[in-house]
Amino acid sequence: MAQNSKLYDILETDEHSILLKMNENHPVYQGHFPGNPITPGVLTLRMIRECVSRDIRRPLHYSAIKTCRYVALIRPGDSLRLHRQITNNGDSLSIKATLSHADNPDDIRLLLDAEMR
Amino acid sequence: MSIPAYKTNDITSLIPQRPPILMVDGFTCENEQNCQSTLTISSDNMFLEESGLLAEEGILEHIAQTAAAYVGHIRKLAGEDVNMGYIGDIKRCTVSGLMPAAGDTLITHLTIMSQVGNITLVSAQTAVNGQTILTCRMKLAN
Repeated sequence: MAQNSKLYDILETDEHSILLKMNENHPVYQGHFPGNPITPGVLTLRMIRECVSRDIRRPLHYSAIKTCRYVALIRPGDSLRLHRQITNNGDSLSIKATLSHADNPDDIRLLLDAEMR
Repeated sequence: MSIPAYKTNDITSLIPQRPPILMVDGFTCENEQNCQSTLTISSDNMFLEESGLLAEEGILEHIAQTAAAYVGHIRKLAGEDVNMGYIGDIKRCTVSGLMPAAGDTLITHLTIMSQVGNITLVSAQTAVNGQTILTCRMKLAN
């Protein structure tokens, strides 16, 4: 089931950005939506949380989402670049993130301003 | 617009989402501004984490599908087909307290703030066992 199949692969990671590719075989696409696969917006939020958790080397959760703007759809097979800026506030982390097309920084898919713990 | 109270457990008649990402199992529309939905979390829910607790993104999906069920209900009343919807933005979201586990039931209260054309703005509050665990505003386009 879904837990056994990865939604995305991390192709490259450095301090500036993370390069990701959406796995077109993930079972969620069977239900979202039948015949018209689109990555659920909430799974994009989870992907960013998992990437930041990898950066920080411990499991994190959102404590607040100030704004999350879905600018354009993400489809199975898309290659994406995640830029993230992490500020440690002591008891929480401020996260500013931009997800765009892997090769075109002007093709923005998501803008996020959130806090994690 | 005034609409009669409506209650259903046949969620797939109101929204296009299907397993494994169906995240509402009961929907009540009290009037044109207020809805309520439920989800009892099954042990194979795709948002359950290794900790055994539901991820916050699962609650956001539950809220998005509640808003989609409202839109689907209104469209059906108008004689239109249920169509696909997307989250446009999430704002003012706060998460607090212990996340639910398999067997727990989410109860969401949705207030429709505005509906103009195909854009619906809602305010949502989700509780488990009487404790509010997530509140947010969400904009949907369908």
